[in-house]
Amino acid sequence: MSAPLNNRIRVLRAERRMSQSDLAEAIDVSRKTISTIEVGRFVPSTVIALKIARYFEVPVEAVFSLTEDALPSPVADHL
Amino acid sequence: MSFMNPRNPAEACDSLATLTAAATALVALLQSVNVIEVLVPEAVAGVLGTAQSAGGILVLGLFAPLFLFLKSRGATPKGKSSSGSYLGALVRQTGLNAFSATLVFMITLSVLNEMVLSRFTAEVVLDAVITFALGSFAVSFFFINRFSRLDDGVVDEA
Repeated sequence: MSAPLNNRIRVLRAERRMSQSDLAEAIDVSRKTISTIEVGRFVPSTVIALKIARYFEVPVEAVFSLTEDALPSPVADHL
Repeated sequence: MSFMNPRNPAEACDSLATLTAAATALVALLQSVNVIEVLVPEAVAGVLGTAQSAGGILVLGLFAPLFLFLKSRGATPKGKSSSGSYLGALVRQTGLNAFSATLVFMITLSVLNEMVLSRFTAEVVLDAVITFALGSFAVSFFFINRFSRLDDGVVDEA
């Protein structure tokens, strides 16, 4: 369950002065789910990732991004 | 999150998962008495049997009302609120660990045929396997949960 994923949830929350509990309640998950995603302990499902992005009104890429190690090489490199 | 005062159905689901793991640990302990009884003197086995009955009543009397309470607060093991949650994933991982560990345990027992299987009845061996399966589930759940970075001081800031 270690995460090859960076996220900006903490930053987005801080900008809106929200607690983990507030965000959890807004997207119908538990606070523990939010806190484990934030620290990179847990990779969320696509549904939860989309819900978080939708809630903050940003594209999902503005919340989550792959770490350098997890980035695949572009398709052009395979041609 | 307050365990007994979940703020929403998702929190109730998490509480239910934790409660299930705790109940599993206790049932494993009670089940282990069936194995220990054949290894100790009869007088001690009698005491253990009484303790086991008391423990069974405790599990039913304590956990069943809690279980029903959390269900009434919206906790559904396969409800939409639990989909994709951290504890949902933890329970799945724990189940996988327990299955693997139990399989290894059973293979080990079969290898130790002369030492174990030929000396104990099938009932005792079955009790041992059930104890191991339940125990490994509970230990795996609390081990993974305890040693996550979450427990190293991640708190709400706002």
